[in-house]
Amino acid sequence: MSAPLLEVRDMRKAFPIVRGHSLRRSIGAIIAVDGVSLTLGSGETLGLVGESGCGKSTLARCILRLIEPTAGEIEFDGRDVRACDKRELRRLRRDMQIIFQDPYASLNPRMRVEQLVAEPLLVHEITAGRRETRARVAELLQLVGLAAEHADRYPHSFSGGQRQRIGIARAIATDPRLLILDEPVSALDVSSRAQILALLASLQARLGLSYLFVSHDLSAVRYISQRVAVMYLGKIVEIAPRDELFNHPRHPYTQALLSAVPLPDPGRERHRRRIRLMGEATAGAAIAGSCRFRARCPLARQACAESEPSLEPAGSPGHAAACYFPEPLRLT
Amino acid sequence: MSDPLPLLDVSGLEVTFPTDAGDVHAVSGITLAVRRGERVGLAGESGSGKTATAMAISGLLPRSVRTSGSIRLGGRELTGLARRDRRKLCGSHIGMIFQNPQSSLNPALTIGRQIAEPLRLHLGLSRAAARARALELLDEVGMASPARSFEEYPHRFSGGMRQRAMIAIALSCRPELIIADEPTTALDVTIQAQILELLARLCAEHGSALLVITHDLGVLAGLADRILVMYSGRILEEGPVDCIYDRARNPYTQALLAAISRIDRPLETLRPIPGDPPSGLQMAGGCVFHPRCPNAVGICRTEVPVLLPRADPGHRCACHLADQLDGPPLDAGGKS
Amino acid sequence: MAAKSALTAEAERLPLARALAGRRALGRLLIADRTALAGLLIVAIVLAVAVAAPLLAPHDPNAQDVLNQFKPPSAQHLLGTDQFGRDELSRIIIGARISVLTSLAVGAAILVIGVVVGTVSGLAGGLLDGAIMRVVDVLLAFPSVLLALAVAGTLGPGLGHLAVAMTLVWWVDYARLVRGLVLGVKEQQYIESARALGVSGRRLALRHVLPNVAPPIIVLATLQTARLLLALAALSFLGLGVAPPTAEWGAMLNDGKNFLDTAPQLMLYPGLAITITALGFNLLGEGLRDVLDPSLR
Repeated sequence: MSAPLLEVRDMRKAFPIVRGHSLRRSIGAIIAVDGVSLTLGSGETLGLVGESGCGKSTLARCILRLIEPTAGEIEFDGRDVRACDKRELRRLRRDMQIIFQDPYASLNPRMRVEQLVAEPLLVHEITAGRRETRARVAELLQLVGLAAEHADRYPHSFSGGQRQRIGIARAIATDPRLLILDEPVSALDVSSRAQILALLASLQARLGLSYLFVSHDLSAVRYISQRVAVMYLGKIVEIAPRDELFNHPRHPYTQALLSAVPLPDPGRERHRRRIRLMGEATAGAAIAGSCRFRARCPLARQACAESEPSLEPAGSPGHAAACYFPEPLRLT
Repeated sequence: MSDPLPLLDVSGLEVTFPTDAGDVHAVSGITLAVRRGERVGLAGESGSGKTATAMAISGLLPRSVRTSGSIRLGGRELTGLARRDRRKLCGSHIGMIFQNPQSSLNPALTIGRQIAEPLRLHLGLSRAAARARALELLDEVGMASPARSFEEYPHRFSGGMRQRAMIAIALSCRPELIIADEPTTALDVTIQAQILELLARLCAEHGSALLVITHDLGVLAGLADRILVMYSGRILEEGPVDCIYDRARNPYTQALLAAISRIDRPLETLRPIPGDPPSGLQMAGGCVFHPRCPNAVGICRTEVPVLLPRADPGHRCACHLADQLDGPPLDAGGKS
Repeated sequence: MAAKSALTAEAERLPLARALAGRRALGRLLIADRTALAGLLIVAIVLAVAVAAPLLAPHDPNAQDVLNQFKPPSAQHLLGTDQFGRDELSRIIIGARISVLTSLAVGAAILVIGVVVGTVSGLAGGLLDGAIMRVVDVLLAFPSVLLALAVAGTLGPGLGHLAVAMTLVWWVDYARLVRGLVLGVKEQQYIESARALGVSGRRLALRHVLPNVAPPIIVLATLQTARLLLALAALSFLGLGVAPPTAEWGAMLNDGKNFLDTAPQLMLYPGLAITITALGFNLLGEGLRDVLDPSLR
């Protein structure tokens, strides 16, 4: 098997809590990402699932160094991402791109579509001259399912789904190898969601892209990922090939997550037995030296309070869970 | 059995937003009814007019917006009332839960104050009585340590807790009808499950009717007794919940259900609905869905279909071809 | 998570977005707002007069004719004459040139300085931001006119020195506003998107940040011109700036105060000129605000 395209080792990100305005004192830290390791192969999609506060978006941004990680190593295509200086990082940005969640906020409202899609081409000097740039912009727009005529309009005249397409065109303009998708369809309607997911799948096949698909939407993740990792309070608590995770989840949190997803099936919903989780996950509330899910876990036992479980193989190959008692559960 | 006269009776409702670019017909004549204790779901995507409907019912639309049609609550006509009378009526008989708990709660007032406000305003309770009742409510909605939560400001709470506070505010005057506009869209899925369960339980306990407005068909499957499907300002299909999910007749409803990726079924190709959601500015002639409908024929372009009864009681569908169609749409429609 | 509101917000947002889309709508709204139109007209007329002043003035504003003091309006002197027999109308017209153009020049200077400082401060953050803001705070602690007075007094007489003094005092308003706006824009996701693409600091500032902070700045610039005009008049009234016999509205007010009981019109004309011009800029600014930044409405 060839070397992975992306390898993250023991990534950590802590946000200091500061007091004071001019003279800032740090009185503690919120640890958003607490030792995450993952690999991503070429042409593969890794889904990263978790609820708010789990650190998945922070992790995504740290990989791109949009936020600087506190610790850990990032290796992309053999290169050490953290060691890159400004110029090298800029060069790296050609190969690693990101698509954001909010199609209404991620496009500069004062730039026309043409300018938005052309910007990466100009910044990285991929095309020379207006004619070539315009041609490439038209090509990109058509690739994402928009018409070349849309180039002259402003973002606000488009629907959410179309704006997300513009964002995708922008991201693939530099012909990247890795695309990080941070909740790309969460802010869209059902019909737009399906369209964009289908587009992303087809682009992946056409352009040989690798995706890191970050989302709290389990059904979207399931549709597009080959492997799925579940994050909770800054750590990966389970990782497995897609079908294995959805059919035989082993970590109690994953099981609770899957059981909480509402199904568009009234008969089943009525008789569904859910795993009820009490309380909420407060970001950064992990207590050192015990399982971070313990407070809400319906299966918590003494061993869970004594030390934190690490990711250990559980079930079939490629499947790992961070739990002392990973019991398989067949869910509806 | 429940009262035959509907609690909420909306008939021929039209809502038009005047804009510089022309009139936006957000709602083009819809009729819906909610009986006492009933749970009705209004399903629709953005541009469907569902939020405009909710706001029209609760009287929250700005003055510049034109509405017509009839909205009766408990037999009383709301549309002609002066704003003040309407506010009073709605405040005590209708409870609203909004989508975004961050922006729906006043950040400058404590949670307790915001729950107590309608109690003092509409029920005329004293400060002490209002406080006592507010604490009761906070306990009912599952807030940990109600006394402490009472004194806290919204920014100290998570999304789920704020939504619980919103539910407490909505329930405070024991309303007969609760209107929830995307109540769990901004919440995590495990919190969503908690909130939905809470909402269902409290409505059952208090005997309130529930009108849930959302695009999430999964949420409605577990919560609603009856569903109306809205698109571009019109109701395209309505019926008992089982009916809609298992035996939908309208191509839009079918396409919507087909476009949802379900985690409990084997993976299959997603079938997106081609085209873009309606903007409300250019109204399609005839059936509002015809530009995106794979089965559209001549009559669909010219004549607006009327809601006609189907086999199951209470099931109505607005489609010229409803009799011919059977099951999912004929076209695979998987284009991006 | 908050972005989910975009789903339902889209339906409400669409009419408003379309209503305010494009320059065509901008022009239409501006014309439709009558107060803005009035402001635009006044400003246009005043500017035209200011620029073409030497051609428009019927007489030499400094030509004295002591025999014809305090003459009432006549065919020859439409606004009469002042205490030295000089044509009042010509003095008002030439005064426009100095008052308005100086205000605009100072306005332009403080705009550039303020925007640059504010943008740098907002984007840089940290110690640099802190240092700049402390300077701004100190300057803002003083009443502007008094501070300008002090600086001008130190520099010495003359319009040039006064202009410099005003520039040194008034840039802080912009700096503070721009910095605040930049801080807000900085957090927007489209800025993050640009950074993710590899957009450099300079391009980020010029292409992404500035165009999005421009509308409130433009509004402020228009309103600021009115304030500068009044400040200039006040300072000239106090004896700074132009030396006699140069015609300038504030100076004319100063001269006229000695004859308040005998010839009040000598204060009335320049006073009206100042008031109307300031009003014009204010109306224009308010109108622009409604058009460019409806969220401020």
